[in-house]
Amino acid sequence: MIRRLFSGWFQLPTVSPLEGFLSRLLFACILIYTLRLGVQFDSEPHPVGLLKILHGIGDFLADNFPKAYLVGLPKILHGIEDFLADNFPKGFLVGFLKFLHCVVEQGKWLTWLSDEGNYAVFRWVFFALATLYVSGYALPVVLPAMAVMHILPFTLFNSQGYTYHGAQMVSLVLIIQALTVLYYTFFEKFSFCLPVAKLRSWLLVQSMVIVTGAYFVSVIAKMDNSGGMWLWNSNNIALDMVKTQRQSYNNKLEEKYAGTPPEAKWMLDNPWTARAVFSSGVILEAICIIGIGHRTLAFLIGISLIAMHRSIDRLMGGVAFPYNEFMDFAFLIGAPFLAAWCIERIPRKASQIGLVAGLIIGVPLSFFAQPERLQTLRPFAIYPLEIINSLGFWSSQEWGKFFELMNPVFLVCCGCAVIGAGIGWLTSKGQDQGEHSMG
Amino acid sequence: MPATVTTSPSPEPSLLGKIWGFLKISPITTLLIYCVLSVMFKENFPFSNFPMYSNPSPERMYYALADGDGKILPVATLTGITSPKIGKIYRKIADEQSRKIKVSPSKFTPEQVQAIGLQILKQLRHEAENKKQTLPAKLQIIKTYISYKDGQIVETSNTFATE
Repeated sequence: MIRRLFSGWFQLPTVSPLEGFLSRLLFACILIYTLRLGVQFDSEPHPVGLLKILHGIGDFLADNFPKAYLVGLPKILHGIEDFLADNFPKGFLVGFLKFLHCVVEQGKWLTWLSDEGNYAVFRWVFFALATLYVSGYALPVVLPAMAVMHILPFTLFNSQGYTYHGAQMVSLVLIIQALTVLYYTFFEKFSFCLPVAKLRSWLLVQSMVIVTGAYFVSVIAKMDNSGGMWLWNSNNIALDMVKTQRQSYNNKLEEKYAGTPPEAKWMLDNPWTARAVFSSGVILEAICIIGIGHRTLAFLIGISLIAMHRSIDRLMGGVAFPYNEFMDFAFLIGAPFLAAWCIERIPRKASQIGLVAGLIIGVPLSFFAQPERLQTLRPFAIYPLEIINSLGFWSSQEWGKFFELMNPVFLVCCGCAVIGAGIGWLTSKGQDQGEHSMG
Repeated sequence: MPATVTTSPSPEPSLLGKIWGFLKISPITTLLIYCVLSVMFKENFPFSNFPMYSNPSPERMYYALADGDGKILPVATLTGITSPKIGKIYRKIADEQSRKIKVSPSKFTPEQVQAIGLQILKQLRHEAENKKQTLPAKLQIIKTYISYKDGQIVETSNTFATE
C-alpha cells in the first residue's frame, strides 16, 4: 500500500508525444496570460532577486572603477542614440539604448520595461519564443531564454517593496524545464529536435515537483513562523478573513466589502470547527508531494487544491491564486494527459493529427463567427491573445461574458476538428489499404 | 564446453548507499534542493517561502490611507497600490533599516516609525502622480488592530504616520 502511494517517486510516468505537445500548448497559454499586464514602475526602490544581484554589481563598479569610465560610456551611448533617433524611426533600438541609459546613468536595470513600447516588443519576442516552445523544437535555447524573460517583469514588480505571490510558481516551472532540457542536452543527447519520451517524462515530473513543492514550502514557513503552533492557532485565520474584507473595502470603498463576513464570525464562535477546516488545507499542502509522478494521486490532489483555492477565495473575499490553479490544472490534474488520452482513442494517427490541427486552426477562424460588436472590440490581429486572456474569467467568474466570447470558439473549433479528423481519415485510408495489400 | 563464470555476490548496499541510490534517480532530490533554496532566499523572485497567513495570532492589523481629517481614501483607485501592500512596504523598509541600525522593528521609536510612514506616503503620492490622480494636501496612514473578545470582534484604530 505504502509502496503504491509513493510509486511516483521511483518510476517515470509515460508521456505521449501528443500529451507533450498539449502540455506545452497549455503552459504557453498560461505564460502568455501572466504577461498580459505591463509593469508601470519607473523605480526600483527595494530590489529583490536578480535586481539585488544587478544593483550589487552596479554599486561595486561605481565604487571600484574610475568615474571617467562611467561618464565616458553614457557619452558614447548618447552619440549612438542621437544618431539612431535621427536616422531610424522610434522603436526597439531606441528602447534598447534607453535600457542602457537607465543602467549606466540612473542605476536602474529593469525600468525600461515600464515603457509601453519596450514592453510591447518584449511581449512579441516572448510570444515568438512561446510559439517555438509549443512546436517542441530548439528547446535547449528557447526554454532558458523564456525563463530569463519571464523573471524580469515580476522581479521589477516585486522590487517596489511589496511582494506579489502569484507568478513564482509559473517562473519556477519554466526555470526547472529549462534546467531539465539543459541537463538532458549535456548529459544525455544534444538535440534541437522534438523531445524524446525520456525528456518528456522528465519535463512533466520536474514541473510537478515545483508545483507541489511550492505548497510544501508554504507549510515549512507556516510551521517555522508560528513556532510549530500553526494547527493549534489556525482558528485565528478567521480574524484574517475579517482583515482581508476590511482591506478589500479600503481598496476601492466598494459597498459589497463593507460588512463583516458572517462565515468569519461563525468560525470565531466555533474555534474547533475553524481549526478542522483550516488545518485540512495545510495537511493537503503537506501531503501533495506524494502526487509527484503519480497520475491518479496527482489528479485527486489537483482537484482538492483547486477546491481549496476556491474556498479561500470565497472565505477571504477575493484572495485568489489563479496562476496556481492553472498550474494545478495543467500539471497535477493533467488536463493535457486527459485530452491526449481521449484523442488517442481515435483510430488512425492521421485522424488524431487532423483533429488537433483543426482545433488549433479553429481559434483564429472563430473570429469570423463572433458578433460584430466583439469583432470591433477585439481586432483580428490580437484576437488569439484575447482568447488566451479569457483565462481571466476563471477569477472574475463572469461566466455570461465568458460564454458570449467562447461559444463561437467552441463551435468553430469543434467543426474544424471534425473536418480535420475526417480529412486525416480519408488521406490515411489509401495508405492503410496499401499497407494491408503489401502485407 | 562453455566456460563457467563464477561471480562473487555483490555486497548489499548500506543504508547510506541505498539513500544515495534513491536520491540519484528520484525527483525528491529536486524537491529537497528547491525547498532549501526557497527557505534560504525567502522573498527573492522567483523564489518565495510563501509566508502568507503563516502565523495566525489572536490580534491582526491592517493599514489604511486617509486624508487629514481621518476619512478613509480608496487607496487602490488613487494610487494603484492596494491596502495590504501598505503593510508589506512598511515591513520591507523596516527590515532594511533594522539590518542597518541593528535594532528590531518592534523596538523602533515613534519618530523612526513616522519617518518610514512618510516614505510610504511619498511612494503613494508618486504612484498617484503616475496614475494622474490628485491626493488631498494632507495624508495619514491609519493602523487598525482586530481581535476577538467575549464573543465580539473588537477593532481599535490609531494614526500610524501623518504628513
